[in-house]
Amino acid sequence: MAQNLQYFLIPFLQPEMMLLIWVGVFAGIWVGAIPGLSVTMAASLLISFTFSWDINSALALICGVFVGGVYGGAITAILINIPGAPAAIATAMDGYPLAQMGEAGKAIGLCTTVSVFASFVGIVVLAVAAPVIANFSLKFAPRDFFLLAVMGLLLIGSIGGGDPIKGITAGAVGVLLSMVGMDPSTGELRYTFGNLYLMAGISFVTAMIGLFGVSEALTQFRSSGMKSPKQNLDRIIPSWATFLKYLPLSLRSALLGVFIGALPGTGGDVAALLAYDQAKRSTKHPSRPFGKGALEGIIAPETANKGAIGGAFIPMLTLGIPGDAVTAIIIGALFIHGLKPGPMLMIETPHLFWMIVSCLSIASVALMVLGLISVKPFAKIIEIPKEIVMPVVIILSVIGTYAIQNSVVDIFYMIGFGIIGYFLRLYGYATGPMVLGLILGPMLDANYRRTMQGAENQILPFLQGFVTSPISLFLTLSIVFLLFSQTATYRRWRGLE
Amino acid sequence: MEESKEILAEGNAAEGAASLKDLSTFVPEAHRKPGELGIAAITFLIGALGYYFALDMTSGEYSSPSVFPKLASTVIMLCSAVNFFRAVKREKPEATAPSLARFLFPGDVVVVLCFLVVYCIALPKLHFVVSSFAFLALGMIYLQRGKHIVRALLVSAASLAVLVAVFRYLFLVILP
Amino acid sequence: MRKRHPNKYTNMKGMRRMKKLCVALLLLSVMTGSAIAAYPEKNPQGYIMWGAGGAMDNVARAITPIAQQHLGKTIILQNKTGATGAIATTFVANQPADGYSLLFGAENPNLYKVAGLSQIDYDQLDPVLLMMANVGVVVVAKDSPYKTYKDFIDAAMSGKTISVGSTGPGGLAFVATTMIEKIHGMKFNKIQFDGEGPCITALMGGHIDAVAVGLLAAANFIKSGSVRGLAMISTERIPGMDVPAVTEAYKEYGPYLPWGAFFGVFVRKETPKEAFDALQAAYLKAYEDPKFDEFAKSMGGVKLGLTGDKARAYIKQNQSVSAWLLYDAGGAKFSPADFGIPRPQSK
Repeated sequence: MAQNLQYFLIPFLQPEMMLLIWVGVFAGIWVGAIPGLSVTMAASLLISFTFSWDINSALALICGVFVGGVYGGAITAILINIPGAPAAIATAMDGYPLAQMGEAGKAIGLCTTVSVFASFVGIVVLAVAAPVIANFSLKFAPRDFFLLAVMGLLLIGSIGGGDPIKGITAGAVGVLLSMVGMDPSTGELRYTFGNLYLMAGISFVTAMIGLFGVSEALTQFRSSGMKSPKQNLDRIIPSWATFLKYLPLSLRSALLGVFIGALPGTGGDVAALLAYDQAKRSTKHPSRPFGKGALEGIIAPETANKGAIGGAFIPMLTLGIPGDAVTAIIIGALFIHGLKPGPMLMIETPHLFWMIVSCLSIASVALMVLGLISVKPFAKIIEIPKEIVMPVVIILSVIGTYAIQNSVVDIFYMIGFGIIGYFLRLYGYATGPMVLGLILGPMLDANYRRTMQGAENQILPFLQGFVTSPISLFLTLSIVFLLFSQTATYRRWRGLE
Repeated sequence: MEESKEILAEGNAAEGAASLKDLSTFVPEAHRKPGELGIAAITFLIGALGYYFALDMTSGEYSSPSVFPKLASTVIMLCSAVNFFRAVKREKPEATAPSLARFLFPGDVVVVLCFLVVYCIALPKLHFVVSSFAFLALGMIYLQRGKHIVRALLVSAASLAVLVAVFRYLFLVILP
Repeated sequence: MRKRHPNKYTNMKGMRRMKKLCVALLLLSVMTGSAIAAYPEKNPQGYIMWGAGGAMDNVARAITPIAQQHLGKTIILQNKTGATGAIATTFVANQPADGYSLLFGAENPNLYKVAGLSQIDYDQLDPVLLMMANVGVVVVAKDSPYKTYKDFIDAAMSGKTISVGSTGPGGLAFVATTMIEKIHGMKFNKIQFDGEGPCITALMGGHIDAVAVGLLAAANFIKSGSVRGLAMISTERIPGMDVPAVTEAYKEYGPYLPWGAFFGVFVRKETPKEAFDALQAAYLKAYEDPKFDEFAKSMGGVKLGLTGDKARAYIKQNQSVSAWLLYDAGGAKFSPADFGIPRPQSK
C-alpha cells in the first residue's frame, strides 16, 4: 500500500512531469477541438516526438493530451455545431441549441465540471477494479459487440429530432456508405467502381466534418442578417445544487463510459452515444426537451466519454490489450521504450500503473482549471458576427479534413458531404444519424459476420447464441426493452405522456 | 412548449420556414415542402442502386460481404417509400411557399456554393494559402455586403496565418 | 513627337528584353536550385500498412525516430490501413518516385496477386532495409484442453470443428492455417478479426479455439502465461521461448520452412539513387543503434538487417513459399505460375 502511494506520488515529485501534464492537457484541448485532428493522431505524433525522452515524461504528456483531447471535442460541438471528435456528436445535439440561446458559458462550464467528475470516476474504477473488469470484458464475444452496435443504432431514430423514419433513412444511407471500399475481411471491393480513392473507403471523420460543419454554415446562410446570440456569462461554474441534481445521471453515464471504454476496441464515441440514448429514455423531466438544449443531453455523453478514458486503460494495463485506439498507441510507446505491455507489466514494472493513475488524476484537475478559465473566451467566439466566423469555419474544416490523410480528394468529399447535408436538413433529415451510420456500419457488419462464421453460417446456432450466453442475453433483452420503451403502451405505463 | 418556441423565435429571425423548428418532438407539417417528393424518390433510387450493385458481390453464405449492403439498401428503400407516401398524403406546398429553385438556393447560399466550387477548382492549382485567403476575404466581403473590407482582409490574413502556422509547424501537416 | 517614338519603341523593346532575361534567370536558378538542393528537402511521409499499436506499427515507430535524426528531416508517419496492407501499398506505388513516400510493409504484399487482392506488390517497390523477421506460433487459451500440438491436431482430425482466428486473406494467420490444413488434410473454421491483437483478445476470451500469430504479438502473452504456445512454425526453437518447434511433432512441415513474416521499409523502384542511398544510410545507422536493439529484444523479434540484393532474394523466397503453399492448399484465387513466381528451391 505504501509502495503504491509512493508510485502515485511520482509525478508530484518531478516538476518536469507535472509541467508536461498541464501542457499536454492544454494542447489536448486544442487538438480535440479542431475537427479532423484527433487524439489518436496527436498520440501517434507524440510517440515519435518523445522517442528519446524518459518513458515517464512521455507518458505524462500523452496522458495529458488524451484527457484534454477528449474534452476538446465538446467545445466546437457546442460553439459551432461541429464535433471536434466523434465522441462529441451527441454533445452537439443539445450543446449547440444551448449556445444559440445564449447559454454557451453555462453549457461549457457544466460540461467541464461533470467531465472532471467523470474522469475521476474512471480513474477510481481503474485503480480499484481493473483486473476484474478486464477479465470480464474479455468475455464479450463478437455477438455482443454486434448487439452494442445495434443499441447505438437505436439512437438513430431519435436524435436530431424530427421524423424517426427520415432519421432511419439517413442512418441507413450512412451504413451503406460505410460499406464503400475494400472489405476488411475478404479484401473484396465493394462499391468502388474501379476508383482508387473509393477503395480506401469513406472516412467518417471527413463525412462528419462536412455533414456537421459545412452544412451548418450553408444552413446558417439561409437566414441572412441574423445576429449572433448574445452570451450570458454570469454563472459559468454550476452551483452545488445543480451539480448534485445531475449527480445520479453523471454517475450512471460515467460508469457506462468506463465499462464501454474497457471493452477492447470500443472507446469514447460509442460510450457517448449509448449514454445519450440512455439519458434520453430515462429522464422523465428534462430541463428542456432533448435536442433543444437539455442539460442532460450534454452531461450524459460527456461523462461517458471521460469515463471511457479510465476505462480504456483497464485492459491495457492489466492484460496488454488496448481498450481503444489511443491506448493501442500507448502500448506501442511502451514497447518502443523497452517495456513489456501485457500481463507482466504490473508485475515487472508496478510503478507504471499507479503513475498513470496519478497522471490521469492530475490531468483531470488541470482540465478543471484550464477548462473553466477558457470558458469565457470560448463563449465569446460565438458573439463574433457569423459573416466572419462561418468562412473561417469552412476553411478550418478544409484543413482539418486534409490533416487526416493528407489527401486533397478528402477535401472534395467533405465539401460534397456538406452540400448533401445542407439539402438533407432542408427536408428534415437530420445529419447526425448519417454519421452514426458511418461509424457503426463497419462495427455491425464485421461483428455480424464474425458471429455468423462462429456459428458456421447456420441460422439456428446463430440465433441460439443470443440467448445462451448470459452477456448476449442481457444485451438482447436490453434492446428489446429499449424498443418497447418507445411504444405508446410503455409510455402510458410510465406516466411519460 | 410555447415558451420554448418563443426563445427559438427570438434567437433566430427566420425567413424560411425550413430548418428552424422545435426539434424535440415530431409534429408533422400540414403542407409538403417544395421538392419533398423529389428527395424521397432520390433516396429510394440510392437504395435501389445500392442493392443492384450489391448483387455483384460475393454472396451465398449468411456471412458474405454482400449481406449488410443488401440489408442497408432494403431499409433505405422501405423508409423512402414510407416517406414518399407520407409526403403524397400531405397537401401541396402552400401558395406562399417559394419555388423549388428559390427554396433550395436562397441568395446567400448560391453565392457561397459558387465560392466553394471555385475554391475546389482553384485549390490544386493555386495551392492552399492563396485559395483559402481568396475564399475567406471574398466570402467575408460578400457576406458583409461590401462593408468593412479592410477588416475582412485583415481577419482573413490573420486567421489564415495562425492556422497555417499551427498546422504546418506544430502538427507537421503539409498543406496542399 | 519624333523623339518620343524612338524612345518609346526602344523602351518597350528594352523592357521585353529585360523580361526575357528575368524569366531566363528565374528558370535557371530554379533548375540549378533543384539540382543543388540535396535530398531531403522536405519531410518524407511514411505510410504504415497496419494499424496503430500492432507489431508493424511498433517496429516502424521504433526505428524511424532514430533514422530521421541521421537523415536530417523528420519523417512523418501515419497508418494507412485496410485490405491487409493493399491500400497503403497501392497508395505508395502511385505516389511520385522521389523518395518522399515510404512504405512500412510486412510480408503481406507477396500474396496480393495470387489472392486476387491487388496487382501491385513488391515488384513495384524496392526494399531500403528489411528490419525484422517474425516467426509464426500457434497459440491456444491458457485453459485450453490441448496441452500439446499433437493433441490439437488430433482433435481437429477427429472431425471436431475448431475455430481459428484469421487476419484476412494474405495475413500470417491465414497462410499458416492453410499450411496446417494442407499438411494434415482437414479444415478449420476461420473467423476474421481486425489484426493479431484482436485475435489474441478473442482467444483469451474463449471466442476462438486457436490462432497462429506472429511471435512479436504473442511473445509477452506466452511468457506471462495468458496464452499457451503449442508450436513454433519453424524448424528450431527460438531462444528464450519455451515452445517446441513444429517439426518436433510433425516432420512434414520441414519442406515449407523457413517461412514467416518480415518488416521493412520500401520506396518506389524508380526512386533516384541519391534519395535511396540517403534513406538506406539513415535506416542502417538506426538499425545498429543500441536503442533499437533493446526494442527488438523486448519484442522477441529476429533482427534481419538485409539490404539490396540479399533483401530482394529474401522477399522473393518468402513469396515463392507463401504463394505456392496457398495455391496448393486451394486458398489462392490465381496460380503463382500466372505471375512467374517460381516454386521454392528445396533445401
